[in-house]
Amino acid sequence: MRTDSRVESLQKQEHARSRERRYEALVRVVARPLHRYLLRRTHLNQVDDVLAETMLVLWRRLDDIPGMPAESAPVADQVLPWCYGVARGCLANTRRAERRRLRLVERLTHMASPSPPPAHANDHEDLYAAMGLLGEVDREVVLLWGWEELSPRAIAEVTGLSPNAVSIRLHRAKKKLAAALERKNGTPVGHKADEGRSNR
Amino acid sequence: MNEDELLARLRAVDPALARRAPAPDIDRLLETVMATTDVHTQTSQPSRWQPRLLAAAAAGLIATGGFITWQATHTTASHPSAAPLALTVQHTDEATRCAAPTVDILRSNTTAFEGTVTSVSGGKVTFRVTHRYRGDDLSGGVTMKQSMRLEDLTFAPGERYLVVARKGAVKPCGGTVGAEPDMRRLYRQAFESER
Repeated sequence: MRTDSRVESLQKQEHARSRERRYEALVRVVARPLHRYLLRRTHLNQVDDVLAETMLVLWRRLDDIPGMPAESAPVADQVLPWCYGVARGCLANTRRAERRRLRLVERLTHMASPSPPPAHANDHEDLYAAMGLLGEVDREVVLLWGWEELSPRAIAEVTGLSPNAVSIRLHRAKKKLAAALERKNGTPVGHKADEGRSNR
Repeated sequence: MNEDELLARLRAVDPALARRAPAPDIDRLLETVMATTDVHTQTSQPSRWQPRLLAAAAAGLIATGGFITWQATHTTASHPSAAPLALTVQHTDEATRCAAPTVDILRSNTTAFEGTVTSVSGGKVTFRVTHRYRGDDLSGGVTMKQSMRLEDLTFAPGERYLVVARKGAVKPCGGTVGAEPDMRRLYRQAFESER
Protein backbone atom coordinates (compact mmCIF):
# COMPACT_ATOMS: atom_id res chain seq x y z
CA MET A 1 0.00 0.00 0.00
CA ARG A 2 2.78 2.34 1.05
CA THR A 3 4.80 1.30 -2.03
CA ASP A 4 1.80 2.10 -4.25
CA SER A 5 1.47 5.58 -2.83
CA ARG A 6 5.22 6.14 -3.20
CA VAL A 7 5.07 5.04 -6.86
CA GLU A 8 2.08 7.29 -7.41
CA SER A 9 3.91 10.18 -5.78
CA LEU A 10 6.98 9.60 -7.96
CA GLN A 11 4.77 9.46 -11.05
CA LYS A 12 3.14 12.73 -10.08
CA GLN A 13 6.53 14.33 -9.54
CA GLU A 14 7.76 13.12 -12.92
CA HIS A 15 4.61 14.45 -14.56
CA ALA A 16 5.11 17.83 -12.90
CA ARG A 17 8.75 17.95 -14.00
CA SER A 18 7.87 16.97 -17.54
CA ARG A 19 5.24 19.72 -17.66
CA GLU A 20 7.76 22.26 -16.41
CA ARG A 21 10.27 21.15 -19.05
CA ARG A 22 7.68 21.44 -21.83
CA TYR A 23 6.63 24.86 -20.60
CA GLU A 24 10.21 26.09 -20.43
CA ALA A 25 10.82 24.90 -24.00
CA LEU A 26 7.68 26.74 -25.09
CA VAL A 27 8.64 29.97 -23.35
CA ARG A 28 12.09 29.93 -24.93
CA VAL A 29 10.43 29.72 -28.35
CA VAL A 30 7.57 32.19 -27.94
CA ALA A 31 8.62 34.82 -25.37
CA ARG A 32 10.56 37.07 -27.75
CA PRO A 33 8.01 37.06 -30.60
CA LEU A 34 5.21 37.69 -28.08
CA HIS A 35 7.23 40.53 -26.57
CA ARG A 36 7.58 42.09 -30.04
CA TYR A 37 3.86 41.55 -30.70
CA LEU A 38 3.02 43.50 -27.55
CA LEU A 39 5.66 46.19 -28.17
CA ARG A 40 3.88 46.88 -31.44
CA ARG A 41 0.48 47.27 -29.89
CA THR A 42 0.69 48.78 -26.45
CA HIS A 43 2.55 51.24 -24.28
CA LEU A 44 6.03 50.30 -23.28
CA ASN A 45 5.10 50.37 -19.60
CA GLN A 46 2.35 47.77 -20.13
CA VAL A 47 4.33 45.32 -22.25
CA ASP A 48 5.94 43.36 -19.41
CA ASP A 49 2.70 43.07 -17.46
CA VAL A 50 0.70 41.78 -20.41
CA LEU A 51 3.52 39.41 -21.32
CA ALA A 52 3.54 38.00 -17.77
CA GLU A 53 -0.21 37.54 -17.88
CA THR A 54 0.06 35.83 -21.26
CA MET A 55 2.67 33.47 -19.87
CA LEU A 56 0.46 32.57 -16.93
CA VAL A 57 -2.35 31.68 -19.32
CA LEU A 58 0.04 29.60 -21.45
CA TRP A 59 1.16 27.68 -18.36
CA ARG A 60 -2.43 26.99 -17.40
CA ARG A 61 -3.41 25.93 -20.92
CA LEU A 62 -0.20 24.17 -21.91
CA ASP A 63 -2.06 21.02 -22.90
CA ASP A 64 -4.49 22.94 -25.11
CA ILE A 65 -1.86 24.55 -27.35
CA PRO A 66 -2.18 23.20 -30.90
CA GLY A 67 1.14 21.93 -32.24
CA MET A 68 2.68 21.58 -28.75
CA PRO A 69 4.66 18.32 -28.78
CA ALA A 70 4.61 15.97 -25.80
CA GLU A 71 8.38 15.58 -25.59
CA SER A 72 10.46 17.57 -28.09
CA ALA A 73 10.81 21.36 -28.30
CA PRO A 74 7.93 23.10 -30.06
CA VAL A 75 8.26 24.58 -33.54
CA ALA A 76 7.65 28.34 -33.50
CA ASP A 77 5.40 28.44 -36.58
CA GLN A 78 3.18 25.72 -35.14
CA VAL A 79 2.60 27.17 -31.68
CA LEU A 80 2.97 30.92 -32.19
CA PRO A 81 -0.37 31.74 -33.85
CA TRP A 82 -2.31 30.31 -30.90
CA CYS A 83 0.00 32.07 -28.45
CA TYR A 84 -0.48 35.36 -30.32
CA GLY A 85 -4.21 34.78 -29.86
CA VAL A 86 -3.70 34.48 -26.08
CA ALA A 87 -1.59 37.66 -26.02
CA ARG A 88 -4.29 39.41 -28.05
CA GLY A 89 -6.91 38.38 -25.50
CA CYS A 90 -4.77 39.50 -22.54
CA LEU A 91 -4.12 42.80 -24.28
CA ALA A 92 -7.85 43.29 -24.87
CA ASN A 93 -8.51 42.67 -21.16
CA THR A 94 -5.84 45.19 -20.19
CA ARG A 95 -7.27 47.75 -22.61
CA ARG A 96 -10.76 47.26 -21.22
CA ALA A 97 -9.46 47.79 -17.69
CA GLU A 98 -7.46 50.81 -18.86
CA ARG A 99 -10.52 52.30 -20.58
CA ARG A 100 -12.54 51.88 -17.39
CA ARG A 101 -9.78 53.54 -15.41
CA LEU A 102 -9.49 56.41 -17.90
CA ARG A 103 -13.25 56.95 -17.93
CA LEU A 104 -13.14 57.25 -14.18
CA VAL A 105 -10.19 59.65 -14.28
CA GLU A 106 -11.92 61.62 -17.02
CA ARG A 107 -15.06 61.93 -14.95
CA LEU A 108 -13.02 63.05 -12.00
CA THR A 109 -10.97 65.65 -13.83
CA HIS A 110 -13.38 66.63 -16.65
CA MET A 111 -10.40 66.52 -18.96
CA ALA A 112 -9.87 64.31 -21.98
CA SER A 113 -6.58 64.64 -23.73
CA PRO A 114 -5.93 62.68 -26.92
CA SER A 115 -3.03 60.28 -26.75
CA PRO A 116 0.11 61.74 -28.30
CA PRO A 117 1.09 60.49 -31.74
CA PRO A 118 4.26 58.42 -32.06
CA ALA A 119 7.47 60.43 -32.32
CA HIS A 120 7.99 59.58 -35.98
CA ALA A 121 4.34 60.07 -36.93
CA ASN A 122 5.02 63.04 -39.22
CA ASP A 123 7.26 60.96 -41.50
CA HIS A 124 4.49 58.43 -42.04
CA GLU A 125 1.42 60.57 -41.64
CA ASP A 126 -0.10 59.24 -44.86
CA LEU A 127 0.28 55.62 -43.70
CA TYR A 128 -1.27 56.33 -40.29
CA ALA A 129 -4.14 58.14 -42.02
CA ALA A 130 -4.63 55.19 -44.38
CA MET A 131 -4.55 52.69 -41.51
CA GLY A 132 -7.15 54.82 -39.76
CA LEU A 133 -9.53 54.07 -42.65
CA LEU A 134 -9.52 50.36 -41.76
CA GLY A 135 -11.74 48.78 -39.16
CA GLU A 136 -10.10 47.37 -36.03
CA VAL A 137 -10.14 43.75 -37.19
CA ASP A 138 -8.91 44.56 -40.71
CA ARG A 139 -6.11 46.65 -39.23
CA GLU A 140 -5.06 43.76 -36.99
CA VAL A 141 -5.19 41.37 -39.95
CA VAL A 142 -2.92 43.65 -41.99
CA LEU A 143 -0.50 44.13 -39.10
CA LEU A 144 -0.30 40.39 -38.42
CA TRP A 145 0.58 39.99 -42.10
CA GLY A 146 3.03 42.90 -42.26
CA TRP A 147 4.69 42.81 -38.85
CA GLU A 148 4.33 39.25 -37.61
CA GLU A 149 4.69 37.90 -41.17
CA LEU A 150 1.87 35.42 -40.70
CA SER A 151 0.03 33.53 -43.44
CA PRO A 152 -3.77 33.89 -43.73
CA ARG A 153 -4.18 30.49 -42.07
CA ALA A 154 -2.08 31.57 -39.07
CA ILE A 155 -3.87 34.93 -38.90
CA ALA A 156 -7.12 32.98 -38.78
CA GLU A 157 -5.85 31.09 -35.74
CA VAL A 158 -4.90 34.32 -33.98
CA THR A 159 -8.13 36.16 -34.69
CA GLY A 160 -10.67 33.35 -34.66
CA LEU A 161 -11.79 34.19 -38.22
CA SER A 162 -11.92 31.54 -40.93
CA PRO A 163 -8.88 31.39 -43.28
CA ASN A 164 -11.18 32.31 -46.14
CA ALA A 165 -12.49 35.37 -44.30
CA VAL A 166 -8.93 36.42 -43.49
CA SER A 167 -7.87 36.13 -47.13
CA ILE A 168 -10.78 38.29 -48.23
CA ARG A 169 -10.23 40.88 -45.51
CA LEU A 170 -6.50 40.98 -46.14
CA HIS A 171 -6.95 41.43 -49.89
CA ARG A 172 -9.46 44.24 -49.44
CA ALA A 173 -7.46 45.96 -46.71
CA LYS A 174 -4.26 45.93 -48.76
CA LYS A 175 -6.14 47.35 -51.73
CA LYS A 176 -7.69 50.05 -49.60
CA LEU A 177 -4.36 51.00 -48.03
CA ALA A 178 -2.57 51.11 -51.38
CA ALA A 179 -5.30 53.24 -52.93
CA ALA A 180 -5.26 55.69 -50.01
CA LEU A 181 -1.47 56.00 -50.13
CA GLU A 182 -1.47 56.45 -53.90
CA ARG A 183 -4.11 59.18 -53.68
CA LYS A 184 -2.03 60.95 -51.08
CA ASN A 185 1.24 60.64 -52.99
CA GLY A 186 -0.20 61.26 -56.45
CA THR A 187 0.91 57.84 -57.74
CA PRO A 188 -1.29 56.60 -60.60
CA VAL A 189 -3.93 54.25 -59.25
CA GLY A 190 -3.98 50.82 -60.87
CA HIS A 191 -0.60 49.54 -59.74
CA LYS A 192 -2.09 46.73 -57.75
CA ALA A 193 -1.30 46.11 -54.08
CA ASP A 194 -1.48 42.36 -54.48
CA GLU A 195 1.20 42.33 -57.16
CA GLY A 196 4.83 41.66 -56.44
CA ARG A 197 4.58 39.01 -53.71
CA SER A 198 3.87 35.39 -53.58
CA ASN A 199 0.53 34.30 -52.24
CA ARG A 200 0.92 34.01 -48.45
CA MET B 1 1.80 50.60 -55.07
CA ASN B 2 2.46 46.87 -55.12
CA GLU B 3 2.43 44.46 -52.21
CA ASP B 4 6.19 44.66 -51.57
CA GLU B 5 6.06 48.46 -51.41
CA LEU B 6 3.15 48.32 -48.99
CA LEU B 7 4.99 45.81 -46.84
CA ALA B 8 8.09 48.03 -46.83
CA ARG B 9 5.98 50.99 -45.70
CA LEU B 10 4.46 48.94 -42.88
CA ARG B 11 7.83 47.63 -41.73
CA ALA B 12 9.23 51.15 -41.69
CA VAL B 13 6.80 52.02 -38.90
CA ASP B 14 7.19 48.76 -36.98
CA PRO B 15 7.35 49.88 -33.32
CA ALA B 16 9.29 46.74 -32.35
CA LEU B 17 12.17 48.02 -34.48
CA ALA B 18 11.84 51.64 -33.45
CA ARG B 19 11.49 51.02 -29.71
CA ARG B 20 14.73 50.06 -28.11
CA ALA B 21 13.16 47.94 -25.41
CA PRO B 22 15.35 45.26 -23.83
CA ALA B 23 14.48 41.70 -24.75
CA PRO B 24 12.45 39.89 -22.09
CA ASP B 25 14.43 38.14 -19.34
CA ILE B 26 13.22 34.63 -20.07
CA ASP B 27 14.78 33.00 -17.00
CA ARG B 28 13.13 35.48 -14.70
CA LEU B 29 9.84 35.15 -16.52
CA LEU B 30 9.95 31.38 -16.10
CA GLU B 31 10.83 31.56 -12.45
CA THR B 32 8.03 34.01 -11.76
CA VAL B 33 5.43 31.89 -13.50
CA MET B 34 6.67 28.72 -11.79
CA ALA B 35 6.58 30.40 -8.42
CA THR B 36 3.07 31.71 -8.86
CA THR B 37 1.37 28.74 -10.46
CA ASP B 38 2.16 25.74 -8.27
CA VAL B 39 -1.54 25.22 -7.70
CA HIS B 40 -2.13 24.28 -11.31
CA THR B 41 0.20 21.32 -11.22
CA GLN B 42 -1.44 19.88 -8.14
CA THR B 43 -4.84 19.06 -9.50
CA SER B 44 -6.47 18.42 -12.78
CA GLN B 45 -9.84 19.46 -11.37
CA PRO B 46 -10.67 23.12 -11.92
CA SER B 47 -10.77 24.85 -8.60
CA ARG B 48 -12.85 27.87 -7.77
CA TRP B 49 -9.68 29.39 -6.36
CA GLN B 50 -7.65 29.04 -9.52
CA PRO B 51 -8.92 32.11 -11.38
CA ARG B 52 -8.49 34.15 -8.23
CA LEU B 53 -4.97 32.91 -7.69
CA LEU B 54 -4.14 33.59 -11.31
CA ALA B 55 -5.64 37.05 -11.11
CA ALA B 56 -3.83 37.70 -7.86
CA ALA B 57 -0.56 36.57 -9.37
CA ALA B 58 -1.07 38.76 -12.42
CA ALA B 59 -2.18 41.67 -10.26
CA GLY B 60 0.91 41.26 -8.12
CA LEU B 61 3.06 41.43 -11.20
CA ILE B 62 1.21 44.42 -12.57
CA ALA B 63 1.22 46.30 -9.31
CA THR B 64 4.97 46.12 -9.09
CA GLY B 65 5.59 46.95 -12.70
CA GLY B 66 6.99 43.71 -13.97
CA PHE B 67 8.45 40.48 -12.91
CA ILE B 68 10.26 41.59 -9.84
CA THR B 69 7.66 40.98 -7.16
CA TRP B 70 8.69 37.59 -5.94
CA GLN B 71 12.35 38.06 -6.51
CA ALA B 72 12.77 41.66 -5.41
CA THR B 73 14.45 40.81 -2.16
CA HIS B 74 15.93 37.53 -3.24
CA THR B 75 17.17 37.90 -6.76
CA THR B 76 20.69 37.31 -7.85
CA ALA B 77 20.58 39.68 -10.77
CA SER B 78 21.42 42.88 -8.96
CA HIS B 79 24.55 41.66 -7.15
CA PRO B 80 26.40 39.41 -9.51
CA SER B 81 29.77 40.05 -7.92
CA ALA B 82 29.46 38.04 -4.66
CA ALA B 83 31.69 34.98 -4.25
CA PRO B 84 29.93 31.62 -4.59
CA LEU B 85 28.86 29.98 -1.36
CA ALA B 86 30.59 26.61 -0.92
CA LEU B 87 28.56 23.78 0.58
CA THR B 88 29.56 20.18 1.27
CA VAL B 89 27.32 17.18 1.56
CA GLN B 90 27.85 15.87 5.08
CA HIS B 91 29.25 12.37 5.17
CA THR B 92 27.57 9.79 7.39
CA ASP B 93 28.48 6.15 7.81
CA GLU B 94 24.92 5.11 8.41
CA ALA B 95 22.83 3.85 5.56
CA THR B 96 19.97 6.22 6.12
CA ARG B 97 16.43 6.15 4.87
CA CYS B 98 15.14 9.69 5.08
CA ALA B 99 11.80 10.61 6.54
CA ALA B 100 9.84 13.20 4.52
CA PRO B 101 11.10 16.72 5.29
CA THR B 102 9.04 18.80 7.68
CA VAL B 103 8.86 22.50 8.42
CA ASP B 104 10.92 21.95 11.58
CA ILE B 105 13.62 20.00 9.75
CA LEU B 106 13.88 22.76 7.14
CA ARG B 107 13.98 25.51 9.74
CA SER B 108 16.96 23.93 11.47
CA ASN B 109 19.10 25.04 8.51
CA THR B 110 20.95 28.31 8.06
CA THR B 111 20.89 28.41 4.25
CA ALA B 112 17.91 27.64 2.04
CA PHE B 113 17.40 28.38 -1.62
CA GLU B 114 15.97 27.21 -4.91
CA GLY B 115 18.50 26.95 -7.70
CA THR B 116 19.08 25.62 -11.18
CA VAL B 117 22.06 23.34 -11.66
CA THR B 118 24.43 24.95 -14.16
CA SER B 119 27.11 22.23 -14.08
CA VAL B 120 28.02 18.93 -12.49
CA SER B 121 31.69 18.10 -12.61
CA GLY B 122 33.98 15.86 -10.53
CA GLY B 123 31.56 15.58 -7.63
CA LYS B 124 30.98 19.34 -7.60
CA VAL B 125 27.54 20.72 -8.39
CA THR B 126 27.17 24.40 -9.25
CA PHE B 127 23.86 26.22 -8.79
CA ARG B 128 22.48 29.50 -10.04
CA VAL B 129 20.22 30.68 -7.23
CA THR B 130 16.76 31.64 -8.40
CA HIS B 131 15.17 32.19 -5.01
CA ARG B 132 16.80 32.67 -1.64
CA TYR B 133 14.74 31.63 1.36
CA ARG B 134 17.34 32.00 4.07
CA GLY B 135 21.01 32.90 4.42
CA ASP B 136 23.44 35.51 3.24
CA ASP B 137 23.90 36.89 -0.24
CA LEU B 138 23.82 34.01 -2.71
CA SER B 139 24.08 36.13 -5.83
CA GLY B 140 27.48 34.67 -6.69
CA GLY B 141 25.92 31.22 -6.97
CA VAL B 142 26.48 28.13 -4.85
CA THR B 143 28.78 25.17 -5.24
CA MET B 144 28.17 21.85 -3.52
CA LYS B 145 30.79 19.19 -3.04
CA GLN B 146 29.33 15.70 -2.92
CA SER B 147 31.38 13.27 -0.84
CA MET B 148 28.33 11.02 -0.81
CA ARG B 149 25.08 11.00 -2.72
CA LEU B 150 21.90 12.36 -1.27
CA GLU B 151 19.17 9.77 -1.06
CA ASP B 152 17.08 9.49 -4.24
CA LEU B 153 18.62 12.66 -5.64
CA THR B 154 20.75 12.98 -8.74
CA PHE B 155 21.76 16.47 -9.76
CA ALA B 156 21.41 17.18 -13.47
CA PRO B 157 22.23 20.39 -15.35
CA GLY B 158 19.18 22.49 -16.13
CA GLU B 159 17.06 20.92 -13.36
CA ARG B 160 15.81 22.88 -10.36
CA TYR B 161 16.39 21.89 -6.74
CA LEU B 162 15.50 23.12 -3.30
CA VAL B 163 18.59 23.06 -1.14
CA VAL B 164 19.11 23.50 2.59
CA ALA B 165 22.37 23.53 4.52
CA ARG B 166 23.43 24.16 8.09
CA LYS B 167 26.70 26.07 8.47
CA GLY B 168 27.88 24.96 5.04
CA ALA B 169 26.92 21.29 5.46
CA VAL B 170 24.13 19.67 3.45
CA LYS B 171 22.67 16.87 5.53
CA PRO B 172 21.63 13.70 3.70
CA CYS B 173 18.17 13.96 5.27
CA GLY B 174 18.05 17.71 5.76
CA GLY B 175 15.40 18.43 3.14
CA THR B 176 17.38 18.97 -0.07
CA VAL B 177 15.07 17.79 -2.83
CA GLY B 178 14.00 18.32 -6.44
CA ALA B 179 11.97 21.52 -6.85
CA GLU B 180 8.48 20.06 -6.94
CA PRO B 181 5.45 22.21 -6.26
CA ASP B 182 4.56 20.52 -2.97
CA MET B 183 8.13 20.92 -1.69
CA ARG B 184 8.19 24.57 -2.74
CA ARG B 185 5.08 25.03 -0.69
CA LEU B 186 6.77 23.41 2.31
CA TYR B 187 9.81 25.67 1.91
CA ARG B 188 7.57 28.71 1.77
CA GLN B 189 5.74 27.53 4.84
CA ALA B 190 9.04 27.04 6.65
CA PHE B 191 10.81 30.24 5.66
CA GLU B 192 8.43 32.81 4.28
CA SER B 193 6.01 32.74 7.21
CA GLU B 194 8.81 33.94 9.47
CA ARG B 195 9.48 37.09 7.41
